[in-house]
Amino acid sequence: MIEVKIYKDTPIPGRFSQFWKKFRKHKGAVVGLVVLTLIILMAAFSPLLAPFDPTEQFSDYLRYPPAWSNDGITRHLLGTDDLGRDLLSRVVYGSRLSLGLSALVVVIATVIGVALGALAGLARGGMEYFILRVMDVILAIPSLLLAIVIVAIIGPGLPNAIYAVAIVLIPHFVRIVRASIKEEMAKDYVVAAKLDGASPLRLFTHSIFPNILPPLIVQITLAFSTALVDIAALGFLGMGAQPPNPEWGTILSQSRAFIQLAPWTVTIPGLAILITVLSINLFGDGLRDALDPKEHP
Amino acid sequence: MILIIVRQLIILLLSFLGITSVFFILTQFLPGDPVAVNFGNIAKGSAEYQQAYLALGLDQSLLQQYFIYLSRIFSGDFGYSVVTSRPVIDEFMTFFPATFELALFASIIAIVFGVALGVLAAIKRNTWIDNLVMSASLVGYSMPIFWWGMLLIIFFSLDLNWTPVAGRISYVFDIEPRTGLMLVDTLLAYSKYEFIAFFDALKHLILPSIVLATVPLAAIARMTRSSMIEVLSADYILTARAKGVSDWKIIWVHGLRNAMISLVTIIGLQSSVLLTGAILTETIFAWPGVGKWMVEAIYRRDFPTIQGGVILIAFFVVLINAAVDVTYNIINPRLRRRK
Amino acid sequence: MSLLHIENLSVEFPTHKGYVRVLDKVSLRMKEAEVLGVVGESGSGKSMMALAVMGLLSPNARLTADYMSLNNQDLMKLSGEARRQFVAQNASIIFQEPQSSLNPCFTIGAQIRETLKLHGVRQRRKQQEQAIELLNAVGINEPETRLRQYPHQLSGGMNQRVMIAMAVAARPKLLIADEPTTALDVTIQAQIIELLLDLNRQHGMGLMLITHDFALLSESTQRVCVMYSGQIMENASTRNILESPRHPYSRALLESIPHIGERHHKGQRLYSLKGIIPAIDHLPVGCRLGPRCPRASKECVKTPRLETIENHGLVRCHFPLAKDSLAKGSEL
Repeated sequence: MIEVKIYKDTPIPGRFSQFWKKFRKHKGAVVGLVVLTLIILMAAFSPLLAPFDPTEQFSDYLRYPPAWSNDGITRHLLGTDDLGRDLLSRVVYGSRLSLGLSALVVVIATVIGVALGALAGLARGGMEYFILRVMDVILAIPSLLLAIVIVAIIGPGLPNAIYAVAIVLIPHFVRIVRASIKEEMAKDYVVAAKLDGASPLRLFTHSIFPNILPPLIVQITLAFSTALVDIAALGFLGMGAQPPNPEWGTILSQSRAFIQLAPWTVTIPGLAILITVLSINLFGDGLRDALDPKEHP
Repeated sequence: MILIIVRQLIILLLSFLGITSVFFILTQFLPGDPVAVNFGNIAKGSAEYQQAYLALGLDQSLLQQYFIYLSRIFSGDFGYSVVTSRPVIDEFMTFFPATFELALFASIIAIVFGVALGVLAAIKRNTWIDNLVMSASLVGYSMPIFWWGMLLIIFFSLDLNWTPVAGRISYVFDIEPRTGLMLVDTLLAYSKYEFIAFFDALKHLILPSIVLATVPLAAIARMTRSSMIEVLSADYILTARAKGVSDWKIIWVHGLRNAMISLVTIIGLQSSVLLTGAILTETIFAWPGVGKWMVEAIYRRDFPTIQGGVILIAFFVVLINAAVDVTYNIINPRLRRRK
Repeated sequence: MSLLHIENLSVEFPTHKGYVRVLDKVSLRMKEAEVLGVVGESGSGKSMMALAVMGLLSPNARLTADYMSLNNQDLMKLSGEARRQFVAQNASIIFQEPQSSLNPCFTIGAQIRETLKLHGVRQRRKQQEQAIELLNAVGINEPETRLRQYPHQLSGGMNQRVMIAMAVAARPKLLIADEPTTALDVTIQAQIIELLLDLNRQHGMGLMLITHDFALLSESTQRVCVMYSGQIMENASTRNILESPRHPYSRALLESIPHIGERHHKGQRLYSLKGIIPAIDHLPVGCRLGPRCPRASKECVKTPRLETIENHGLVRCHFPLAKDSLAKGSEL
C-alpha cells in the first residue's frame, strides 16, 4: 500500500491549550480576567497609583464632587469625602484591603475545607456524619448573621472578621470536596487503583484529587467573590475593618450619613465593589465552562 | 412519605441540638457573670439574683447545666433582653412579622421574575435577549446589596421622590398591629383609611423588596435557564413535539415541570441568602425587622437577644430546608413509590 | 404514489467556523406500508434524517430540500406550525432510549391520554378505554396498573412498548423507529422488532427502521439504505445488499457482524475498518470514506456520485465491488 498523505491529521491540543481555547471563546470571562488583573495590579501598586495618602485630610476641600461635575476640581478626580480625604486614593488603597483580605479568607477556608472534606469523604460512619452535621449547622445560619455573631462574640476588628468569614465559607468546600470524592470513588478507575494496592492517601492525592480540582477551582472563585462581599458587608455594619481604614465597605458605612450631601462618596466605592465582584464572577463563569469536561467545544 | 418526614424531623432535631450546643459552649467562654449574660443586670446578692442563679443551674455540674439550658430553650425560654428586659421570644415575635412580610414579598418577586426570565433566556438561547438577561443577572448576582439599596434610595427616594426613605408606613397612620403584616393590617384598617394606608405601606415595601430580591432573583434566573436548557434538550421533549404538543405547553408543562425539580432545591437554598440580605436591607431602610433587631443587639452586646435571635432564625432556615426537601420528594416522581 | 419522498435533503448546523453540513443531499422514497432499513455508524446522519423528516430539528439548523413529501403532501410548502401538525397526524417516531423518551414527571396514562387528546379523543373515559386497548395491542399486561405508573417504574422494554403504543395511537402512515432496540436486552430486541413488523402488517403502516446493526435488518426489511458521514452510500433491496454489497462500506459493515455456528470459521478475525468516522467539520476531500477505505486510490479525492448499478440499486463509489464479491471471499 502506498502511504500518501492526502488527508491531513488534526493534532490533539494539550490540556492547557484546550482549556485556554474554550476559555477564550467566553468573551465575558476574558473581560473579567483582564479587569481582575488590572484591579490586582492596582492593589499591588497602590502607593504609585494613588495621588495622595488615603488618610490625608484636605480641610479646605471638604466634600468636593468628582472632577466631571461643575464644582469638581481635577486634583481630586473622584472628589473628596466629608473629612476632605481624596476619594480616588481611598478607593485605590482600599483595593489592597478588600482583595488582600478576601484572598486570605479564601486560602484559610480552602485549606481547612479541603482537609475536612477529604476526611469526610474518605472516612465513613461516625466521623463523616459528625462533620456533615456540623457543616449543616453552620449552613443553617445565614452566612452574614453567623459572621456578625462570631465577630460580636470575639469582638470587632479585622482579624476576627477574617476568621468569621472563613468559617462561614468552609462548609461549601467540605460539601463539594466530599461530594466529588464520593462520586469519583464510585468510578472504575479508582477501583482499579485500589486493586493495584494504592493506600488511601495515595488514592486521594494521585487518583481523586486531580479529578476534583475543576469543581474546587470553581468553588474557590465563588468563595472569593462571597468573601469580598461579606467582608465589605461587615465593614459596612461597622464590624469589620475600622475607620479610618479605607476598606470599601467601611468607606460606605462612613459615607452613608452623607448620602444626600455627597452621594458620590456612596456611589464610587460601591461601584468598585461591584466591578470587582462582577469580574471575579465573570472569570469564574468562564472557568466553570472551560473546565467542565461535559461541555463540548 | 412518612419516612421522609421522619428523616427530616430527625435532621431538624439534630441541627437544632447542634446550634444550641454551640451557643452553650460559647456562653462558657463569654466574659462576665453568667447570670448577667442571661438575665441582664441584677444586683448581686439580691433574692432575685439567687433565683436566677438557681434557674440556670449554676450550682450544679456542667452537664446538668447543659440539660437545664436545653430544656429552657426547648420550652421557648431564651432569657431576657439586657437592654429592654423583655423576654427575647416576645421581642422576636414583635419583629419577626416585618421580616417575614419583606422576605415573602421579595421571594415572590424573585421567584416569579427569576423563573420567567430564566425560561425566556432558555428559549431565546444565544440571542440578544438571552445575552441581555444573562448579563443583567450576573450583575444582579454580583451586587453588594447594601450599596444597591443606597443607590436606589438616592435615585427613587431622593432624586425622584417616588418612594419613602425608610420604615414600614408613614407616621400619620395609626395601624393596629393585628397580624404584624403591614399590608394585611392596613387592609383591616380599611374603615379608617380606605386604601390610602395600604398603598402607603406598599410604597414602603417596594424598594426594600426589590433590593432584597435582587441576588436571589439573579440566581434563580441563571439556574432556571441552565436547567430549562438541559430539560428542553431531553428526548421526551422531542417525543412531545413529535406528538404535536404546542410550543407553549412544551415549555410550561413538559419543560418547567421537570426543571422545577432541580429548581426547588435552589430556591430553598435562597432562604438563607434572603435572611442574610434581610439583615443589610433592614439596616439600610430602617425596617423594624429581625435583622435590624439582631444588628442592634450586637452593637449593644445584648447576648440573650443575640443567642435567642440566632437560634430562632436558624430554626426557621432549617424548617424551610426541611419543607423544601419534602416538596422535592413530592414533586419528583422518581423518588415516589420507589419499587 | 409514495409515502415518503425526499429529494436532496440537506441539513446544516452553525458552528464557530460557519455552517457544517451534517446531512448531504439525501434522496429516498418509501412506498406505502414499506419497511425500509437505514444503517450506518453513529454520526452517519441517520438520526438527523429522521429528525429532519419529523420537523424536530433544533431551530438553529438549516434545512434545504428540492422536494419533501409525506403522504403526498408537499412538506416544503407548509409553514412551521402547520407542517408540525400535519407530520404529527401522519407520522410518529420512537427513539433509542425509551427511559428518557418518556417524560419522567407524568404517568404513562397521562402521556398516552395527551396523545389521544391531540388526535381528537376528547372524552376522558374514551381516552382511558383507548389507552388500555393500545397497551393491550403492544403486549403489555395489566394495562390499568401500568397507566397509573411512572416511566421509571417500568423496564426499558416495557417503556419502549409504551412509546410504540403512543406512536401508533395516532394511526400514523409512517413510523420511524430510531434505533428502537439498541438500549434493550437482546431477548427483548427481537420482541420489539416483531411487534413493529406486526403493526406494519396489520395496519399497513410504513416503517423506517434506523439502526447500526445490519443483522437486525436482514429479516425484517425490504430495502436498505446505507449511510456514512451524512451521505447515502448504497441504496438497494435487502437481498441484493446482503448477498452482494457493491459499496466497500456496506461490505465492511456486513463483514463486521460476528458469525456463530456453521458460518464461523475458526481463527477467522472479525473485519473492521481502520480509523473512525470523520468529524463532520473535518471531512476528507472527495469520497468521505476515502481515508478508511482499503480500495481507495487517487481517483477517490474526486467526489463520487450516487449512481445506478443495473439489477442492484444505487451506489456511491468510483470502484464498486463486483457482484458476489462477498461469496467469493475476495480481499477488499
